[in-house]
Amino acid sequence: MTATLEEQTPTFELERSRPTPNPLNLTEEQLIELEVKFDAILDDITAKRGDSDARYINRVIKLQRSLEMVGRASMLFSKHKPFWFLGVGCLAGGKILENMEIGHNVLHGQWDWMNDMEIHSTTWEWDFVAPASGWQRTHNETHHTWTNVVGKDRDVGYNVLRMDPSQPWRPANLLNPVINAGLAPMFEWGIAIYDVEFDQYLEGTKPKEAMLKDLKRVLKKFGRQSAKDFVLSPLLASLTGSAKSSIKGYVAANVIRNLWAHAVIFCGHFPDGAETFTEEDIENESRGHWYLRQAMGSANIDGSKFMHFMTGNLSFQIEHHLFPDLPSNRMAEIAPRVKAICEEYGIPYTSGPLPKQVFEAWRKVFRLALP
Amino acid sequence: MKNKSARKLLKFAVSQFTYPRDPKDFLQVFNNLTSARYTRGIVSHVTRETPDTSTIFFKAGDGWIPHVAGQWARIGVSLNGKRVWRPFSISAAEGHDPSITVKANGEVSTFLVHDAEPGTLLYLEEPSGQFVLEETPASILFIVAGSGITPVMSMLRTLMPRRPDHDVVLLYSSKSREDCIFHDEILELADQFPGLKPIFRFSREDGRIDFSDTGDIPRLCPDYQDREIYSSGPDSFVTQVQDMAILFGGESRVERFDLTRRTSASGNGEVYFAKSGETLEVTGADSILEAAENLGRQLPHGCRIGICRSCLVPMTDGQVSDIRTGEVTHDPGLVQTCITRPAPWVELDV
Ligand SMILES: Cc1cc2nc3c(=O)[nH]c(=O)nc-3n(C[C@H](O)[C@H](O)[C@H](O)COP(=O)(O)OP(=O)(O)OC[C@H]3O[C@@H](n4cnc5c(N)ncnc54)[C@H](O)[C@@H]3O)c2cc1C
Ligand code: FES
Repeated sequence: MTATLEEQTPTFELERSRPTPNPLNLTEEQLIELEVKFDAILDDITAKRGDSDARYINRVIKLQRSLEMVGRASMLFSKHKPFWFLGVGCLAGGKILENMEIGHNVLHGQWDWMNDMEIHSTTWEWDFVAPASGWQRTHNETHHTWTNVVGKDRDVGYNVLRMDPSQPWRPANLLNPVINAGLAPMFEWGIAIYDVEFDQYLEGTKPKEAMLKDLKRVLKKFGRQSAKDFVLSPLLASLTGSAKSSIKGYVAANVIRNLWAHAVIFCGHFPDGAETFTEEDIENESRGHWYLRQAMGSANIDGSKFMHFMTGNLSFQIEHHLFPDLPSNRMAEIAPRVKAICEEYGIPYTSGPLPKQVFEAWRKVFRLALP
Repeated sequence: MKNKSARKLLKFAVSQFTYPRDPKDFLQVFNNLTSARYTRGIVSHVTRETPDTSTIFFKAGDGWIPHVAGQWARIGVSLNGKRVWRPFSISAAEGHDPSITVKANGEVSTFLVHDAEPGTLLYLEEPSGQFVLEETPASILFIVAGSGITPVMSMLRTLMPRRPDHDVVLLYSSKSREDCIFHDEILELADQFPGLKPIFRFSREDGRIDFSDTGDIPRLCPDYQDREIYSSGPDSFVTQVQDMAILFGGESRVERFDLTRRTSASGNGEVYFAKSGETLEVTGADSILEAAENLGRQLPHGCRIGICRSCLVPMTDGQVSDIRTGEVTHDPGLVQTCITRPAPWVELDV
């Protein structure tokens, strides 16, 4: 088996730019082996998860809520610089944890096995403008099913960016870098609008009523989120003369969260080495093949434990895409096993430190601005 | 009234700042009893009653309703991280802090008996059930077995201090003296309140109670036909008491703790869940509810033994059989998943 693989490696390089259903030319048998091996990891962790995992997510939630309370309290006195910095730090950290390690993962159903309605994908709503239900549809159903299939996975460029050479070039794509630079600090609003799927309505694939319903939901949430951070909280802070400084503080915290989330998420599928696929690629896709696509289409970020934590363990994007329902605290443990399997079959395991991955994602944004 | 609307207003104001979370989610950081979605309880202390039975006292948070003696509540625990629910009778007297008395018998009960400790979190639903005393009780005969004593203990603790000379006979069967829950406390109650006459039976020494009309009952309690009969315990035991009462034309109130499965009603079957498109294999003597839970799927349920009807789901095709009687139902309509299994195929609209 190893012999045949070595023979195949050169062809892989050639085929890289033109993805085929099975760029590594793995045999049917190898794909079945792959399925068995990845399924074994899934079964193993499913059997192991228990008390310690439940304690973990409960502790993270407690930490997040404490951070948020300290942050909001500090903002009341934010005309004093130390309180301003403390407040922005706690709020930004709190929002990042809430959206990523908690929200994203809860909404994936990673904690549904606990049968706890306080931490459940069907009841969770996050501190993010995009309503959970719309995001679950575009993210869980569309992006995770059609990962990196150009034309199907709308996360490839989020309709506004050209992120793959196979997407036809339009003059508007010249604005790629500008749009992305604008998207970063406003990421939550970008996602909220994206989840309304306005483009699908224009195409006629989404009924008007459904679009309007989603739009209404977004506007409502947008209103309450903005009222909370930018109107009511500063109003309360005005009692101590901290209204202006607290507005600045809340804007700063929201922007920091947006920049961070944008950076991490762009590192998930856009750095060099993360492959895209065509619709023909996935016709009659087997489970082993699906695993292969998930592994090849994603990219990890290397870093410290703290960095992984702050990315919501999305730094283990490959593992997350292989096993979207497994609890995030288990990703670090799974990673070496996934890597070993990938090495065995010559599947590229794309990974790099944060600055490098961010750089590569941005380089792609610039490069694809041109035809 | 004023207080209530003021609280509502405050909650509304605070929730503008906690949106999209409930203010209680933040209060929970300081107080474990608080929850936006559940009534929580915290174990305050645990008393070992017999080698395999413990009484668990708990403090209940917002949403708990004081129990009536004899009622049960659905209680949830986290078993290896996973929330699991079972019904338990409240053993404490009315008006007192609630407690449950549990005999280790399976996964949830064993956890409660051996692992619950002060601080353990419980999840609670409101007490309910019809196994309660009459407003003005006549003379009573309680016939209980094993952990079936729990609701009756709550009744005795409530009734005797209120009506010290009330005429009560307690016929209580347990395996042995060592396994007899509340043995000493019952004797003390009898000492204090002359109306209470306990009769202990230890099946290892005395054998099982003979419920025939020439058996143990007329001998131990000659006027049993003139008494209100209450019975609680395992299904097989309680059913004999019911049959006995029917025989002399009397009535009985009963509480069952389990169900007796007919082995002839077991085998393999399949459930198709129309909403999720999943197919579920049901094997052995499992009910649909148990088979679903074994696969990590949750279905609504309460008592789990066919009493409360909170597990009803619409059957749209196929048929089910009752695991207690083997009786087959094929008319479309609502079925109780806790006591039915596919016969051998059924489609449920969940
Ligand atoms: C109204 C009510 C009040 C109750 N009050 C009390 C109380 O006060 N104290 C108390 O201790 N208990 C009480 N119970 C019983 C309690 O709810 C639980 O059923 C009991 O504790 C066992 O639960 P478990 O999770 O420990 O066992 P489980 O793991 O659910 O097993 C329960 C029993 O069923 C058997 N069993 C499970 N599956 C099957 C199958 N497929 N085929 C055959 N047998 C099977 C097991 O062997 C075991 O003996 C009450 C029950 C009811 C309905
Ligand atoms: S759960 Fe109570 S009747 Fe089925």
